[in-house]
Amino acid sequence: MVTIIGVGESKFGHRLEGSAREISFEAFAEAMNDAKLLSKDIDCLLVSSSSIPGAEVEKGNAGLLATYFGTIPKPAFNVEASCASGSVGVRVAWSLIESGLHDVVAVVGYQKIGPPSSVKGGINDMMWEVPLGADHSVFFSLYSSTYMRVHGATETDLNSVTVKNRKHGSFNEKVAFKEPVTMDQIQRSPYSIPPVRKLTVADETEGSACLILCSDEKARGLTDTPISIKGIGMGAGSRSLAGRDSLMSLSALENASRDAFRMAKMERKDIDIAEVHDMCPILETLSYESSGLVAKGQAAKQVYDGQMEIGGTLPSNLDGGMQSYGHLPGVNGIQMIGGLAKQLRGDERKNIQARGAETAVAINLGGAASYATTTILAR
Amino acid sequence: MQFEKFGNKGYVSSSKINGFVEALANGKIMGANCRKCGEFYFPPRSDCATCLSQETELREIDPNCELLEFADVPLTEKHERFVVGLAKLREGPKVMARIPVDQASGLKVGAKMKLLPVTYPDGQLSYELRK
Repeated sequence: MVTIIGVGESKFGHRLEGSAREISFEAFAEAMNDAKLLSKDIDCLLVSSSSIPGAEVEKGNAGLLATYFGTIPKPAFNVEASCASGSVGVRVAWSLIESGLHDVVAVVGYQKIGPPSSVKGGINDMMWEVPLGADHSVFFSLYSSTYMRVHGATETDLNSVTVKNRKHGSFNEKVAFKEPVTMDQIQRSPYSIPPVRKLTVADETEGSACLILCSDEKARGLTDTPISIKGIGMGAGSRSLAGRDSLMSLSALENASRDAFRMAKMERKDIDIAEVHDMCPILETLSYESSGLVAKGQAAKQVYDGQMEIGGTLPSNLDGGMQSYGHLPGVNGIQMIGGLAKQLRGDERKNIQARGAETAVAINLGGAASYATTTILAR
Repeated sequence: MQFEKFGNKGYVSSSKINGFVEALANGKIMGANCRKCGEFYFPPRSDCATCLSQETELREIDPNCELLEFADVPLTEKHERFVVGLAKLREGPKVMARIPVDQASGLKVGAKMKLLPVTYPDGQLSYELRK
């Protein structure tokens, strides 16, 4: 069994003071202090990274961070899976520890916005669909329209995701967007592409997150509050929109969740809290349904009814989610899993602590949901 | 003819199925059949994911299709308004393509449409969904 013994985050924002390596160090140092370790104790460093258009990505940045963090001569390398890079980094770390190759692995992700680059449409099919105008906004619009038409949901139902997560984020000192938003503000904001409002799409921000993982045996001497990874699944689906069987579910996530729950030997009803990929409300909505946490066609209504808030049936994105942190492909998955670990440990988080929670699931998507991971934690 | 001629703005310059673009210039939309197992692909491919053959043959598709969903993309500082549709070809595969703005009025999911070739004023080649 693999255990999380250290959790760290930088502050998040549009323009942070500091270089990529310095912002990454904020998260690394916090996680290492949490684990009560020093750099020499790390057996392997994984850097989750993915370049959004305009991102400042230093080539070979795992080597650069290993040098800056002081983990050399231990192995260091990059893991990339678009917006799921963070959780895939955790999955790779998990496999390194399970295999016995390494005892203590650090996973760090960062995002720093640089000068505009020529990279376009990285999450869609560059040969057949990007040349016709496909991008993440088209992806969100097509899925949202389908959900509303098939299930009779309204914009208000879907956009309740943003209101909820920004409300949760207002209690979190580290998020980029600390101000809550009202449904009225959303409905008065311009459309990205109907029926999706700009205010409901997570903006690109800067920041870093880090986790320290180790084997159960090793954790016994290091922490009184180990959080175990009980199940970890990943699936892949069609990158092209036309190649998908349905716009009503996320097939990669269906597979990831099936495998994760099977590995954990748990049922969906056993989950107490969740962090769910919320770059846009339709993704959080479909993630509940494709993972099996909520019945098909019910998720938007349940969010609207408050079931995903503290006191509801499945409190979700209690840290504020991507709606509050922003969209950081290499970071979000690590932050989600770290946030859940802190919730399960019962770390003090004023007004937004899911008291008594024992199990949690993190759902992270990437590449227009062509990648998906499901990570199940328990204390 | 290079593959970057395909679409409103091409990003991929070289492909083993450049014949698709040449056919488009001649008013034909091609899919591909695997020469070994017969699997049909649209968009066309040079390699078969079913039997791993690297020999496929271009052939003209049936343009008839049904609209599954569409997105009406508003005017921004970066681009004009445009409409993108997702349709299911009668032959089975799905296609994402633009719908001319003058065809977007009263558009409904389930509408019968055709996938037709188009040459834009700047010489770029593509296909569009039309009623």
